Amino acid sequence: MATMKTLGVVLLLPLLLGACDLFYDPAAPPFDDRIALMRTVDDIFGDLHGGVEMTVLDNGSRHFLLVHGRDRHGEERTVAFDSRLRVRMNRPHLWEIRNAYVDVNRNFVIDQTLFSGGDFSLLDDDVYSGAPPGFPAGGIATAAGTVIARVENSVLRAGPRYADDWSVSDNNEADTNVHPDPVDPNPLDGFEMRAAQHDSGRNRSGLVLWNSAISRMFVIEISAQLAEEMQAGGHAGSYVTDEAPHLVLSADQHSPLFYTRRGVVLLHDSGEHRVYDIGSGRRTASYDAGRSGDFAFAYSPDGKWVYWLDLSRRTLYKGRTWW
Amino acid sequence: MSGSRGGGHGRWIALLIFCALTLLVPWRAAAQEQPLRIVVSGPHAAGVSGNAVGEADRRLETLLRQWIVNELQTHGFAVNGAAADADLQLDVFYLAGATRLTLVLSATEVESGGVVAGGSWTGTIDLALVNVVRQAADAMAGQIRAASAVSRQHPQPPLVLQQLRLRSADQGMAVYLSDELQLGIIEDGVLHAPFIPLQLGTQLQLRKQLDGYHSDSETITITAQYLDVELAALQPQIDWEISLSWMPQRWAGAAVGLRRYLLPERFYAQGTTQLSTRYRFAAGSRASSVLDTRLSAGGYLVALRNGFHLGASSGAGVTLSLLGGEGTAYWFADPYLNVFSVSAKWQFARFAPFIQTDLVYYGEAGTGYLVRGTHEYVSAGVLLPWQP
Repeated sequence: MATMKTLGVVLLLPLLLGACDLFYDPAAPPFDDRIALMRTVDDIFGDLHGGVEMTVLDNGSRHFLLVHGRDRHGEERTVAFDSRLRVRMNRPHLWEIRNAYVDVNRNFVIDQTLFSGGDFSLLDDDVYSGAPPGFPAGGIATAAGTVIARVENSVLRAGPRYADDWSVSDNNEADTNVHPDPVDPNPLDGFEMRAAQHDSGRNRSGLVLWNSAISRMFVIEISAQLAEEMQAGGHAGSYVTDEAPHLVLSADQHSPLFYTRRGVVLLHDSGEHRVYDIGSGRRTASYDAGRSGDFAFAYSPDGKWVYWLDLSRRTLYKGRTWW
Repeated sequence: MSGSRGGGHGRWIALLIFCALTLLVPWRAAAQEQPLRIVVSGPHAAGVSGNAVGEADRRLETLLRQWIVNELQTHGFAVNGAAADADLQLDVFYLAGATRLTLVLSATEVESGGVVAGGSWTGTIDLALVNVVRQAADAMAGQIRAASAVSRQHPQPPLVLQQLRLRSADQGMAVYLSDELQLGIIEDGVLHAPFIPLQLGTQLQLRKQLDGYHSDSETITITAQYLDVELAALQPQIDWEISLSWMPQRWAGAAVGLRRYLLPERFYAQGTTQLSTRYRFAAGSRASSVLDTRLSAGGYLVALRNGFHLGASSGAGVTLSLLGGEGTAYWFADPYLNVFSVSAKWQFARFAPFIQTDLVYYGEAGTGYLVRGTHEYVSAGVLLPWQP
């Protein structure tokens, strides 16, 4: 009996320690127990407090971290780090990194610029042979080509579709309404596209939409097949939320969201990283990263890696995810 | 009142010894119908020859003598007749310091030479000295009458202290009878006190003093003519302390510190080193090692001896962290300012438990990774006196 009690205490103690903030070092940065790699970015970036964005591009065989911030001269630039945190690309004037996507050839597109999926080398400065799509726009790689997705006047437009050589293979462009249900059937408008994140392993993309009318964030999971059907006009006039799993979150419009295989990770204002299941909408996990310190975060679509950047020290970390 | 008296504390007591003979002398009471006749000798400055007494001292002696004579007459004694006709001789000694005066009185039966009353009284040298003389005269009168009453029934004088030995393990400890009247110093574990004609039952307050120890007072009761008293040991002042502490925020570790008091038990400088392991109870979590070294200075604003202490300190330090990455390890050094610390301790004789809260500021300096800003830590521990 005494042995059981001792065992119980031994098992309970870690839970108590883990549950109580008193037993955490308040100066310890988040994920300090999960660091895999780190490097300083002093030589690349200047003051990062003015705003920095991070996202992870994954083409199924390689993934790269994109960091958008200001350099020492105050110029905005985008830098791609490979999985060893080596700089593979460093260019100014690439704005829409949240909508960067993987094309049908497993290469990466940022704005109108095409980069190699192998080493992030520059392939083409103006990838669209025809007129570029209106931005912000994301791309969803399908078997038939890369379907461009964007939101205009609260209507999700799928198309045009680009072939392997980035020629427009089909000019068709179909409209699918974005249904706000189940939060509120009205209003139907107010949607803006915030990000498109692609999970190459599952061949699905997560479209992050902000509805300013009801102050809700929508995350809609579009499969390659659905994107192709939408582009072909198969769902014209219908609501995309009737066709695809989606999640409606009460969040600040600037709260970073990451579509991962583990779920949708919302970086809440409280400092918590909350994971929601896109099917059920339930919160399945959370991690209190604290509010002290200035950090930017990004999760890889495969849900295995988290990157964080200490904006004060300009130090970049890569670590295994906490779930 | 000059310095010529300063070094002769012991000599006045020798005079007393010569004046006080054995007490085993029968005491005869004065006739009931006649007042006791007392002749006053002195006052004499203890340990000072007559030639060395200054004019100021002579005026003081005149005053003392006059006051004593008046007080004794008030009590019904016939004072200052011819010495040959006197029943008692009252020897008056005094030891005057800068601000205080100790008066020693001894009453001896003229016929037998036996001491029948005596004592010492101390007071400030001002108008209040009149009250001291009055108290002394009252006490002497009481003792003389009591001795007279006893001697009528029993031909024995009252018992007074003959020999006092004070024992202590505190070598070199000085023992004072009053603020300025030193009885002596403990040597080889004992102090032989000079003769003081105190009646049995009298309580004597002693003050004990030794460098490096807390001064203390102790009251002893004269219970025998030949008395050995073991004095309580003095409590040593703390100059060095070892600090052992634990911090819940860095719970898998402990800290050890060495504290040097610049002013005993008040102001100090301290070095502290803390070694801990940081770990979060979650799958995949990696432990990291933290070595924190700090120098600080502080003091106790509230310090009750053998009780509550409230202190504050400030300092600076560096936190070294060792984190294991994948295939490599990372060292970080985070310098910091210990902006302010508040601590509360309870001082016991051999240890002092304490709790402390620290406000620590990590800046951007160094190769560190800890979150920049101000952070609060708490810790608990114990301080142990230490002799290097």
